[in-house]
Amino acid sequence: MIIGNFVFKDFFFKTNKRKNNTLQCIYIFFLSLLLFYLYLKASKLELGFDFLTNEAGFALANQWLTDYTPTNNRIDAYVTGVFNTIRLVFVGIFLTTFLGVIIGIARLSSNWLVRKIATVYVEVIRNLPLLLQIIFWWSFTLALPTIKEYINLFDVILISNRGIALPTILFFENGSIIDFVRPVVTVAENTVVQYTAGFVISTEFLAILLGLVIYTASFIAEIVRGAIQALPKGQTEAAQALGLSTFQSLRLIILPQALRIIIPPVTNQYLNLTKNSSLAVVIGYSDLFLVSGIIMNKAGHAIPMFIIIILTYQSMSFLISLAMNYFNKKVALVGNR
Amino acid sequence: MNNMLYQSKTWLIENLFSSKLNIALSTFSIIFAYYFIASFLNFIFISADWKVVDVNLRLLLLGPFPKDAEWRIWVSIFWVTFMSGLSYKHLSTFHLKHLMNLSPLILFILFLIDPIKNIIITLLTLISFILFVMGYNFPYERIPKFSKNSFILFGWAITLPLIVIFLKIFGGVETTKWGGYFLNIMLAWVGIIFGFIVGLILAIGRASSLPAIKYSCTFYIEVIRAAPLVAWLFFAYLVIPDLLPGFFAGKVDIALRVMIVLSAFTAAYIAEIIRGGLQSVPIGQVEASKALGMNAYQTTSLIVLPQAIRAVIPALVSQFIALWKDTTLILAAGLAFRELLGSGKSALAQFEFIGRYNEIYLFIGLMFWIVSFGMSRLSYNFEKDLGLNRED
Repeated sequence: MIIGNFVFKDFFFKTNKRKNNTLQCIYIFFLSLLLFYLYLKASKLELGFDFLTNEAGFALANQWLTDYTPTNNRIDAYVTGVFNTIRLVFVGIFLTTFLGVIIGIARLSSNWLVRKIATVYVEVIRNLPLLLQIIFWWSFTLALPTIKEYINLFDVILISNRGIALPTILFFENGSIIDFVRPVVTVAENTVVQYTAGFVISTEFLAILLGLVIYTASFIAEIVRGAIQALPKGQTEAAQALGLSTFQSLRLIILPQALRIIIPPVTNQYLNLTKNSSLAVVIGYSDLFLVSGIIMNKAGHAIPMFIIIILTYQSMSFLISLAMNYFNKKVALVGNR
Repeated sequence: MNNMLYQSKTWLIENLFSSKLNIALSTFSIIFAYYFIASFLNFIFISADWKVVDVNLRLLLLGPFPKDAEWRIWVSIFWVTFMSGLSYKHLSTFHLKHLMNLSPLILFILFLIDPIKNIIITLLTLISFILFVMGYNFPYERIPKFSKNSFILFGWAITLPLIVIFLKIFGGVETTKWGGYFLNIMLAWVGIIFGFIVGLILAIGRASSLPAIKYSCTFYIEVIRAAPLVAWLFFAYLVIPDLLPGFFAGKVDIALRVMIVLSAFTAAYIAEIIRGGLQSVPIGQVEASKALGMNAYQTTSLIVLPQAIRAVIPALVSQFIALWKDTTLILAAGLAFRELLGSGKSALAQFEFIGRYNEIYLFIGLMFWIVSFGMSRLSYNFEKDLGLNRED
């Protein structure tokens, strides 16, 4: 018995490697059991991708670079959603960086009032749920005057609760290189009032953009502030001693060095912004999540649709990380490359 | 008097009007701040009609929670305030200043909720405040052989199960009847505790030297992080009932599904944060503990984890705050389940209050802001006590 016990112990647990392999085998056994069970359960659901080629049959409010109609198939609908998300993320990242850097610098301003305003902004915005902010901005855009009583800013910008109309820029048309077409509001015979010319930004897009930009900017501002504070104070003092103005020392001395610290955490914020853009679903901006939600409600097939959603978001995140890593290498210290 | 005038004049010149740029910025900021504060105060005291909050207060705070079961929530509140009193003394010394900072908020809440009309709420709030003071002045020294630390830790550890018991005993309330602010608090609490435990296991798993465990943990973390939380909530709503074994089918209601998803989602992010902490522990620490004859379990739990978690407390707390804010997302996922924001939307759908969204959103924002800000302050104090250096 003692010998048997010894042999048993020796076989399984004497060397660390053997013990580890045994542990892993047990782990893999249970994991595959779980996966097999999940597969059995899931195989009763629909797992094919054929449903995507059927006719979509629903209209989408927002479009960019696509001409989608309800008679197109579901792939076209999804692609329209992806393009809408890309537009939102692209514009959002650009504006949020701009606003975030300004507020981050303002938090360290020598001006007491500017500093306090920036601090209040950051502490208020960052502690409120993003969804609440988006819904608030949506209510705000809906409370704009109706299109019959639109606000006219110098005939260049028209504002109403149907959206903001900006001039369209035409290249190489009407015989000139660059031409601007002013936005126009037309009243048709059956009293339908709408924008008939100009580049129209819809209220849904405006609301989700405002929400995302203002929210993410508060996080970027904190990153920028932390990065500037992490720089040695001698850098600012040396810039002052050289006679550089505040703006010059920021642009030439402080920000280029702070950029090295800023980029990795800001990349993370860009990824958050990309994922948060799915909140557009609450206000009906037709982003990829809204479109796939409609498809799932109409046709079922939750699991294949979900695989597509995960892959889409993951590839967008991958592209952003790739671009930011390239940028990070550009600004890295030469010795650290 | 003259001296004071001179001092304030130099302060103004130094802080607001030191250069041409500063003069321009100050003028612009003064106009902006004046306009903003004036319209804000005007809204709160003059143009706003707080009746919408007053009438719907129960809906906003408790949702469809049965009225005759409200004592369950009050008992939970009493327990939590008592525990807060106990730990408040332990965390930091009590200053009147802390209460002074909160006074505008307290005044605002008194302004919203008429304390004389809602006399029962006022009395019960007073009782919970007395319990806070009692906890604060708890006579530790009279009880022999009593460890303050372990008592507080034990108290907080049993708090969540205790609340669930308070809510469930004597024919309690079903989770489908939970709602409002109370639901947000419960979801965030469950998510934080289970998310932290699972996240810790995942982080250790990802740092493991065994490839099977390492890669499966990595796969889980990366897949969960790939899609947004709204998508996972939606997924849970659609798919989890189909994947569970037959006898669970009726038992996994929406509340439980949301709790599972919030925990599973937070766990992936917490695992990544703790992994960062694990990487910051010098390898010499592990080698030293091995040299002392500790086994793998002792090394991890006594040497590596305390240092790793200590290094990432700020990131962990911001993840908890993110989870707290993300409890609103069940509205976005379209679940028929009313937390604070959802209750606010249904209050706005009432005919007499259409268009009163500013009042409702301000109230909801305030309720969320208090907890988020409180959590970030608490973590700030905690870090200072631990001696972690931090700017500002």
